[in-house]
Amino acid sequence: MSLLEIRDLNVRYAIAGRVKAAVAGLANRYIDAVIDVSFEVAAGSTLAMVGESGSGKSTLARAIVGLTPFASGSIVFDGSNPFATGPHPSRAYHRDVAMMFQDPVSSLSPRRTVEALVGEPFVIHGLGNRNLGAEVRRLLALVGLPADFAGRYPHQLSGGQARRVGVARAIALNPKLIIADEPTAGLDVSVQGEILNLLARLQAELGLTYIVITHNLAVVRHASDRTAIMYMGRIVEAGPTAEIFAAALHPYTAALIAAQPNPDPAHRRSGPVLTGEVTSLRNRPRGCEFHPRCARAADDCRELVPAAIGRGPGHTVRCHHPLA
Amino acid sequence: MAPVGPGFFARMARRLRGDPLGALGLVLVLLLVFCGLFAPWITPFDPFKLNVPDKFQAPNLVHLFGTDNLGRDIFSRVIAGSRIALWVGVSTIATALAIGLVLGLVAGYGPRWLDNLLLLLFDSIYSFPTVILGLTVVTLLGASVATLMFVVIVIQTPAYARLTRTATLSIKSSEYIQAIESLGASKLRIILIHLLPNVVGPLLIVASMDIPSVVSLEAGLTYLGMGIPPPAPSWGRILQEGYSVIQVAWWIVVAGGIPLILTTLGFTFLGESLRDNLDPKLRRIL
Repeated sequence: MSLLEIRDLNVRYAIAGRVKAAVAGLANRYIDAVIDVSFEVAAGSTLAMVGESGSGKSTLARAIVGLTPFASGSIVFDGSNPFATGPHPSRAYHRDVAMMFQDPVSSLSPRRTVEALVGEPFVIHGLGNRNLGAEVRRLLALVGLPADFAGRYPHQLSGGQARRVGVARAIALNPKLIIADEPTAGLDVSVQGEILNLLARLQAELGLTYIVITHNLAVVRHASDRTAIMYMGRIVEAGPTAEIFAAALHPYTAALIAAQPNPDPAHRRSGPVLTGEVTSLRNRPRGCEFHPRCARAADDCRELVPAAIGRGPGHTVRCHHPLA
Repeated sequence: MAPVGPGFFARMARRLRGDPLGALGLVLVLLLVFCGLFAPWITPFDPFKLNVPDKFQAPNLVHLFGTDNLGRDIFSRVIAGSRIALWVGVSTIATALAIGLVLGLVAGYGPRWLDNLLLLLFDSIYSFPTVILGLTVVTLLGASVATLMFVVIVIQTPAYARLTRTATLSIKSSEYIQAIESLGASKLRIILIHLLPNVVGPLLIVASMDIPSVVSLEAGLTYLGMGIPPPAPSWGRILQEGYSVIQVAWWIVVAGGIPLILTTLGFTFLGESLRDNLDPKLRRIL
């Protein structure tokens, strides 16, 4: 059963006010950051969102937790619509869905102690009257930090320790879904592994569901059940992680996988190579957004936006000429 | 910026030893605070008591700074004047700071239209020339300490509000504020617990450097007869009275001017030292 179900979600940012748009003659005063995104996350599973910078994956995450209002589409969480009453989700939804931000240290308020930071969700949700100190120590132990860290400030923590504090805060209210934006960014490789193992252990113990946003394919392969690849605001391919790594259907996915560094010096690159930069969101190409960088682009790619087509159970691709 | 905690004062003391100007500033400010707090007990003479037979005495061992045209002891009047200067300077800056903080936080974190409205208000007030605005208000409301403080608060508040607003804008899109927002915290909680402690530090430094300019403004308006009415021994009053008799008694003007200079130097040196030690990034904008 799916815990989170997203249908045709669109998020847009205004780049100019009404007056400025009229004066400058802008036909479209919006930038579309997320377009027609639909996906489901099954309870207890991990979905990886992959894409280059600017592909809209962080905007998507912000829209799901209610930090950025979405223009259209629907979000159904655990059978109900948390945005039924407007752009601000219900309090229960805030408790059920936690978000972890990219930078481990600067996502912690700099003048609060670890104890205050980890205890904050309880205070915000009016649960501060139970024994907060004991609760914080329990959470710190759960993420593998000694209890005497409670008195420290964020700048006294290493990246990995700060990330653990962030995890402790995220799981404080027993959420059902955790959205982790680049959980391993900026950490040493050994610490990255520890954090991924910690997340996996907590998932097993607490029955958590994760959406992991990353551009690190090693993390994707290691940690996720399903993968969705985003390009310029659209999900271009989604499917079971193993299947995507074994047989990618979209040329972009194949190029991303081929671009991974391989430690074997005898290894020679095979598969398509990505050339050029991501096109600006202000000048969205006609047709398939990927066609200016795609080796397989044909005439229809320049004219028609490809629809999502199903290829096997739970595997979809938006491409006129998929690889298989 | 390092948080204030145990060991903070020890650390500051250690740093001041390597920073003689900062230490000098601290000494001068402490001297002013001491004089201001204990003025009634440490003046050798009553600063209001007339003693006409002893008028225009040059500085001597009994009257360190001499006497004025009514025979009042100028040293005592200077010390008594420090209390007025300190009271006007600190209380007005503190009030302006408090109002400016609130308005700046609201402008920076509140809705866009409110931000625009408040900015318009700040800029309108800011565009008045200080002394002209002061003279106008004093003419309308009458010269008194309260009027003077009102003028200074009106003039200083927009400056602090703008600084707070800018700092708030740069912090509000930071990850830690977004993280708190994603937990479902109320706006009031975010402003009070997460924004305020992070914008107030630099502002305190700016404010401490503004105190001498308020003291000078008070002296200036009093000198023009628009500040604190006689016979209160404001430094501006001493200057004004000395100026009219400068050919007979030059020391009165000197005695009224030196504390103003020392106060300005003291707060400026201390403020700069605090800025450099607490938040080196501020050096670029202050």
